[in-house]
Amino acid sequence: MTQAEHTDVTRYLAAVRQGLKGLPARDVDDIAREIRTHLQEEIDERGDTASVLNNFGDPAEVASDIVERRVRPDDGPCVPHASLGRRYSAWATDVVIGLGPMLLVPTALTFSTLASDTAGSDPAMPVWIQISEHIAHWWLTALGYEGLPAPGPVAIGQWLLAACLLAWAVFYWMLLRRSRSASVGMWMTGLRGIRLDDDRIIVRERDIAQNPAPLGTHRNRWWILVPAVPVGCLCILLLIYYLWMCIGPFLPPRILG
Amino acid sequence: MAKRPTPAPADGFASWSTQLRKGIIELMILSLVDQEQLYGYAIVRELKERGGLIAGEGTVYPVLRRLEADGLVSAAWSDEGPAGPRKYYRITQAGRTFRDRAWTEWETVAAALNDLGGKDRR
Repeated sequence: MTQAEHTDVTRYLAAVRQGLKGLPARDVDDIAREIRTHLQEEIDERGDTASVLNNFGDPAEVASDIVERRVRPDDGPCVPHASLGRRYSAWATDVVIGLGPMLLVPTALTFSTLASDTAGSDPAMPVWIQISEHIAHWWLTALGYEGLPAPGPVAIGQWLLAACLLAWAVFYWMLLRRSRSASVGMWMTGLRGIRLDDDRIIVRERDIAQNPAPLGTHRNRWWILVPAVPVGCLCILLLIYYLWMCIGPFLPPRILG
Repeated sequence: MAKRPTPAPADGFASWSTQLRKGIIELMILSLVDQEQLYGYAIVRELKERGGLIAGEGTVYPVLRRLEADGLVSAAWSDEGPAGPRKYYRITQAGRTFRDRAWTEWETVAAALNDLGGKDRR
């Protein structure tokens, strides 16, 4: 097989792998290896790579067919969906992990005596509100408002803390959670994201037929979720509160009276 | 995200023929791997040589994976292939039971069709 043929096959298999996202990684490797052998043998026999790949079928459809046949419980619909409660639990867990530190740490610092000793000039205010006051002061001054009270300086430690917490939230939600077929929350609730006909569908792990059946597929992990769901609700309330508090400083004094 | 548009079949018969082949592909594969253990490409070649029994080469692998997951065939990798490792499939006892039931069902349907005068009307 020439280098160009090898590249074509590799590109084809990458497209198949993309469509198999959500199946166990070991299975995906197994399927890709088997299809590669098939394609290589047929190309060695016939020598026409384009025709061989074309005969094999559209990679997205081949992958979709594999996934659809795997996600089919014996006594249920062909492609079962996860229940709303289970999906909410997974989402709440991801909120706790991704946004929790950003919301809970400044709140905890504000309420602790340690924060009073080490933070900057306004230790009682969570860092997000302090930063929003600075941005609002700069914004309103640029608009021409004069005589606005200058907000207190934000300690360098608070800036660093804010940067780290924000970086973690962005990293978790935009990279870790989006790029994988199962986030931590989905793993805890036994869910998987699979792709069928270009639509991402959330299914239960146990509805994916595997051979051999993995140990612990049916093991409940609800004990982990018991604290995650109420803390997730707390995080959502804190998020609403902080958003509301951060909007306040941006309202011009004329509106505030 | 928009769904991939399904191409309209050229005529009704082509679609019906494809669906028929898809419906009985499990039975055909189980019958093949009952005679000897075969790997994926060999199964595809056999099915093609026996009258183009498959709708597309890529349609065989999803079925093989499902048969394996259901325990109807067992599979084992072998390094003997010239182009890479081959995965050989062999029917299991559960697979034989399934195949026998499927054959009975097939014969029932075929007999019913004959009773309806299918052969005489051609």
